[in-house]
Amino acid sequence: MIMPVLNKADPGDTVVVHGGEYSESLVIDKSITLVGKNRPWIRGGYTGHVILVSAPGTTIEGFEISEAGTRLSKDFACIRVEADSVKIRNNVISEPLHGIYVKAGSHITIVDNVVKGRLDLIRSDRGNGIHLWNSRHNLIRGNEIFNVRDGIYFSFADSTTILRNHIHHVRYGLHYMYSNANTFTENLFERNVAGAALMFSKHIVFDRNVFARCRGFRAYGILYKSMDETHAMNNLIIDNSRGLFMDNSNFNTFENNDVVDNDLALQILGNGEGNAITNNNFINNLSNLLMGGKGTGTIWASEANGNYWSDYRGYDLDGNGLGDVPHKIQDVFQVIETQVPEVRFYRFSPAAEILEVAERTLPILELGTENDPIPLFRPQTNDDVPWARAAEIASVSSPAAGLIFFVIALLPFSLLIFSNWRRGRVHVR
Amino acid sequence: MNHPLLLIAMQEFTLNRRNKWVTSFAGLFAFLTLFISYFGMVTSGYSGFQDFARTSTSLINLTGFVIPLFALLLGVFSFISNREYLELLVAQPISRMQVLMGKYLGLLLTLLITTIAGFSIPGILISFTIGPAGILSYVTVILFSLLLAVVFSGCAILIAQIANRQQIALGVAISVWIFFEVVYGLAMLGATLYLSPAVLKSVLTLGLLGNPIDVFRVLSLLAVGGAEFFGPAGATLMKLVGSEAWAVFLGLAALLTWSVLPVVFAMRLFSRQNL
Repeated sequence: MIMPVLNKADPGDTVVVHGGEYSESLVIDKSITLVGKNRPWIRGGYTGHVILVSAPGTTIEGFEISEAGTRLSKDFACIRVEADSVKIRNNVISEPLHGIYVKAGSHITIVDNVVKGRLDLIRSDRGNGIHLWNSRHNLIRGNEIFNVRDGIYFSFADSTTILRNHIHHVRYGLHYMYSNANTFTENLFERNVAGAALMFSKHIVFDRNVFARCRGFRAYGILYKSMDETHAMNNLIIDNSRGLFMDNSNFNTFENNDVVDNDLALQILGNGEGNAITNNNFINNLSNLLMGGKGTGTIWASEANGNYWSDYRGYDLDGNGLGDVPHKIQDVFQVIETQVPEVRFYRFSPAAEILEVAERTLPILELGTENDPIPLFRPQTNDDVPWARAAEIASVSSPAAGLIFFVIALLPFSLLIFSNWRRGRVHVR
Repeated sequence: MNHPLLLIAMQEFTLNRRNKWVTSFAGLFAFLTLFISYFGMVTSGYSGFQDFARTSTSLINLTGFVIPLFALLLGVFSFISNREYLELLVAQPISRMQVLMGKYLGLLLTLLITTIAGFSIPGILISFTIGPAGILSYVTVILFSLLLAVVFSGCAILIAQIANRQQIALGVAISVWIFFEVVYGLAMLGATLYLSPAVLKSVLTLGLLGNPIDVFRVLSLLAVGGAEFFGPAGATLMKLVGSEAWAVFLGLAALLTWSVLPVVFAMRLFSRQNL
């Protein structure tokens, strides 16, 4: 048992726990350093919090911590923090409700932990990987979080730095509510419902993140709802059902990002203003923009240049790297689609192609107000975009299957030879 | 192998195989599929994300173009161009149904082999880059393409019965092709300008069933990208039919209806026809 040892320890002591199984819940109410060697396993037995920290300056390191209580209304967690300057490092958290729940503590450091959520619960009954409430100036770095409800949830949590985390198979990778002046950098979000859902917050800066493979009817790479003055740059948004969604958001800047291979690159409901989307590469998206109203009020170009659009059909006669004619961001099909979504069934039909060509040569429909006045003629190379990180999660190749197709390919040819051989007999009869 | 049905089918297949048009058409199809896959998957620098879905979309479009045209022309030709041979066949002591079905099976065999050859060669190339899940959806697309070939060979033999002069039959075949490729889709898109959104929802969704090429395209895209590939439209479809499996079932049922009905009509016409 660890608890009796903790009771005897003085503030400032270091308690070292050696590998083994410990079925108990811990309450840490004085500032000690709790170190696990060979990953001791603390099992809470599904009753309440597994470790409750109420002393500032506590460190917890090297444990596996499991079996928090399952009542979501009580917000049970594997590690519950109610003090400042707590360090949680290199732990594995399994069978949690919430993984780490910080209630009104600041300057918390959460580094190199793994949080594995409970697959036996439906997603709405699961807790969050890391939950911050009324908490400031935290550092969350190098954690892997999966199978929980939201990866990292912020509620009234300002000025927190999120660095190099890997969050996958959750609802929202990051979920900000009323949390201002946060930054997140170099994180990898994949296969979530939304990579990052930013809501009702201001002054969020994010840089060099990957948002990948958010697929589903309500899936988004990045979701803004009532967000003001965020600044997004050098992110890679790849292979999502929708890349960036904006609702009721104002004065946000989105620049130098690569938006690639999404079914829909941007969905902007026309209820915001002053958003600037400039200097990005939009490559190989099936559609670029779906909007809610008549226009989005978006600024599509800085003074120097606009964005690169891989479906731009203009030309660059003066060779200055900028297209000589503005790029209509919505094609005729997207205009119709805004009114009648079902028309998408005909998206790739020859009729749709004909309509597009006809529209380009003889404009008959008003294609809306969304124009990029000075589109880039070539994609810009931006080494800050984390393509190498994305390559880690790309599909594996399977050379063996080539053999199967080789056999299938032989089939028609062998049939030809067979029929050749039969030919004489058919004719004789 | 002595059944007259099979003999006629093999004979038809042999004639098709000897036909230089058929071989060049098959060669062109295989070349185009290879070309599209090569530029879609290999030279674009496969990133492991959506390249496969995008390449498949192009392949699906190509198939939707080439296979119906090939089936219609070949089917009409085989009945119309060599009239004396047909008369000779009908004069044999076998039923007209056997003659028609024999020729139909021979036509099918030719088309199925062309389609498989056209898809399997890029398949070798593609499977060196995609994962196992992608290969499964690729094979599904091949199966749907085969069904499309079946549908249009049925249409071809029906056209050959309706219009039995060569020029007329060819004209009808090409018109039918253009109708299903372009006119039908344009009519659907045009409808969006005139009908109210509430009506359009069902017109556009149910309207898919009226065109086998549309059924084929939507089924194939479902296999490659899933229902969310269609965005909100996909959600409507799921709400309408319940699940993706039901959508596929419904599509397959439509394709089967489309392949059986023309053959039944052709059979009735052919058995009463005065040659």
